[in-house]
Amino acid sequence: MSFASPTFLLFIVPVFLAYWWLRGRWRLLLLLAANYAFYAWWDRRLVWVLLVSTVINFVCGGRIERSATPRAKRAWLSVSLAASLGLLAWFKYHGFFAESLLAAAGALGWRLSPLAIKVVLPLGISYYTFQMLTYTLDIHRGVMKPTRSLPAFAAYASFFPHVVAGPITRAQQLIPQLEQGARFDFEHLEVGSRRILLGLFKKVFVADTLAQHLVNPVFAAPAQYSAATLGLALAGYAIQVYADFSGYSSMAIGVARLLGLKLPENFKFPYLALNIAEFWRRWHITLSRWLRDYLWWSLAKNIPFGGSLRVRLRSHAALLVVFLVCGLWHGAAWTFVAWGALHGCYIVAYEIWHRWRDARSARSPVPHWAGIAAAWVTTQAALALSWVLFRADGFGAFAAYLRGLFTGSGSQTLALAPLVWVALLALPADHFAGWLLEHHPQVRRRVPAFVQAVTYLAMIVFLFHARPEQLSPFIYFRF
Amino acid sequence: MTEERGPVGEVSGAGWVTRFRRRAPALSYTLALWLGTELLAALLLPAIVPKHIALSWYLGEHARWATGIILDVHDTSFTVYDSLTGWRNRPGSSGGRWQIDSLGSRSTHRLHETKTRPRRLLFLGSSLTNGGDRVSAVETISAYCEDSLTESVNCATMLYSLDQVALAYRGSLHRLGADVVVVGTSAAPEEGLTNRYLPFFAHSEVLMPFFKPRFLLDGDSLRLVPVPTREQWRAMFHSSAMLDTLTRDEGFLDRFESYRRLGLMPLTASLRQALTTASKLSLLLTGRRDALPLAERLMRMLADDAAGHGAKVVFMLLPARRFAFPTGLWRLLPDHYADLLARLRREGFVVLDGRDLLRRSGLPPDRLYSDGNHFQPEGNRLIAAGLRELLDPAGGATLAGVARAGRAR
Repeated sequence: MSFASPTFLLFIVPVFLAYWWLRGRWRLLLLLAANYAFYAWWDRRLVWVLLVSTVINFVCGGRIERSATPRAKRAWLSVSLAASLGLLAWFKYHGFFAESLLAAAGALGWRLSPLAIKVVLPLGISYYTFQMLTYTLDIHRGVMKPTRSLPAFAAYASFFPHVVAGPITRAQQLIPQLEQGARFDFEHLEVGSRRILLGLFKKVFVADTLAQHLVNPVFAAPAQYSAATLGLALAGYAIQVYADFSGYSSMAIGVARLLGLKLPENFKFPYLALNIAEFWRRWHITLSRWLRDYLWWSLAKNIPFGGSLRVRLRSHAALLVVFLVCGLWHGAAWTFVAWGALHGCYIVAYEIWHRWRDARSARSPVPHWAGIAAAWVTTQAALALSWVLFRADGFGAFAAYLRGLFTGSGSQTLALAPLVWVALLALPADHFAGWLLEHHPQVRRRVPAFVQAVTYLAMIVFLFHARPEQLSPFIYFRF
Repeated sequence: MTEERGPVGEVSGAGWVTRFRRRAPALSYTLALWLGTELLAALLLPAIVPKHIALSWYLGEHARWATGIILDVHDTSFTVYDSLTGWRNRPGSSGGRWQIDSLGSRSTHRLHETKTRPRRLLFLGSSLTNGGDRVSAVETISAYCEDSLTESVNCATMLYSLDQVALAYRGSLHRLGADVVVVGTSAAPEEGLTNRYLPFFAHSEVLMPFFKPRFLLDGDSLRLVPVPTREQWRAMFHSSAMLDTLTRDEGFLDRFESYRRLGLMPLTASLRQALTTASKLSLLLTGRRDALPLAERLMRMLADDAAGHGAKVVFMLLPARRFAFPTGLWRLLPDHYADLLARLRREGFVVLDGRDLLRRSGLPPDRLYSDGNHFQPEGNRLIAAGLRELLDPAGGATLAGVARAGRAR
């Protein structure tokens, strides 16, 4: 039951009405039932994984708080980490590591008997594992108190707007809202509906149109296409992946808001970034903050401040580890590991360059605007390269795409329908609006409600007529 | 009256409409504007937008392209224009798992107009009988009926209805000298008989935006409404003249008219969708079949024509999966299939009960059907065994034997 499907409408309308009709504990129980119904709709075989993970983390959270000694607290945190990450490792990475081990052994001439276990990946396991870990980690750090209410924790862990593909919401952001209970306000409807409409437009029109008419055909046979077409398809993919995921996040935030609950933002116009560090502050924000606060911080807290080469090397190594984990989180495949490593290298290179630039006291001879343009172009080119790796089924496909892009061996071009160009131009329009809102936030207040209404209606009618015949699954669902 | 703002800024003491407008101004304007626009569109658009433009929107670009393909006899087409039946298999065409010979037949070996074995079976009908792209030529019902004494000619054609089958036989296929004409039909043989322009009946078939002939039943006599000429057909997307003529004898024109009025805006389109679903459901519940007398008349005409050429006719009832193996709410529907079978047999037609063959095999539906309507090779094999038993009760492979072999596979 995707947010973009008509079936979801049949789900959310009764849930919305019943949610606001009920009060207190009953509302929480309704939400819990809706969460599990939503999750089971996708795949009921693995609901137990979510349930087990929820109970373990709830118990561990309480135990960490009640334990008298730091050692006991650490022990309970370890139980939570081992159970959560163990389930994640088994379901998501078992096959990957087993196959890699077999391949490596085969290359060395050793013969190992393959472990013939097929494991089904529970939907959203990467998201809900990271979400639940914020509960025990934050209690251990003393930044939040455990909840006494299992329904509140379970409703947080399985909250249907974010359980499948985020945003990765921290326990301290959502559990207090659930415990307190939202008060009905028509503003929730206004904001929620707007976010859902914007998300639908991005996903159904922009992402799916580009996928079906430009990206999928070109990435399926890159050797046939001209370099210009490959470049256009790469730009199309960069837009598709952004529109797909930010569209989903927008819908998730909007659906939660309909229920009076606020989820964190996940995107902030990422292609406005002038360097790779800024990109990660704008792209999948909840994941990058999670990695920063819970992983990087753990790795870096023992690194002393200072400018010695050894200290810097340790700091760079910590960054590389964080991005390798980020890549592996995205998918159990070596291309994702390489994608993470590439971004780690980008960040380290940026850090080195940044330090070198700051150390130079002389004023740069390059005009300010030219510096900004060069930074933007360099950042986008680096990102484009990484998107090829992200999209490729393997390193062979990655190499084939780059070969076609740089040698121009193919000659075929695609005759793109006007709608595809509209979808391509939607990104500059979206980011221009983002830039405007970042630099002139008063703009939104100045736009009369009637003008907003005309715009929304135009989007609805356009979406109705220009939607592709078939919806593609959300890209980030497989993570 | 003074207004007090509550802790979340809402206007306390005001009615919910006022609160809605104040707290959600853009949303309230959007909803009002949306409803107004939907109403205006439903009232004005049918008067403003010419029919042929609305048809372009209704069918999309693929349909325009496909119209050109069939009329210009493009290399990639698998059908060609036919002034009698609307379209027919293009001799020599091939693609995927399917190949058409010079006779327009999907057969397993090279055929000649005169028969080369003691008995010739001529298969007519739609994709259910043809087999489509889901099975190879040797996995069709017709192929499974072949042996050293029997040859099959599979001239079944995509989306043919009973009137086209009868016309095709009368027009040219009787020359093939078949001893038995086997006509495959769905559990609703009257389907499509009141239709002239295929997309109005089967909207999803945008790649087959074809005209077909239809018969009008006038008392006991039949009057043929012929297929338009190529020029009239080609003009569909350029002028409304052809569409205007359809108001006289197109049984499904109301679907297009309701699209013109309600299909262009999201809310009314949803309403239209709901109404269409309700209407289909009511037909299923009541079992109303207005065109069944026309179907029976056409079956009689075909049987008489065949008898005139020394052949007998067998009708195969090939039910959709939901009728053969109903699940959920489908189980609660009345058994219209059994009623139809009894009625046709009472009328004296030779009818093969496809549902009985499929059910008696004991094989799971997934082994028999490749989708909701079409068969897997196993389903075709069973139907063929039943047909052979019907034609030749004393010899050959028995149905029980084929079912046993299927279960063993």
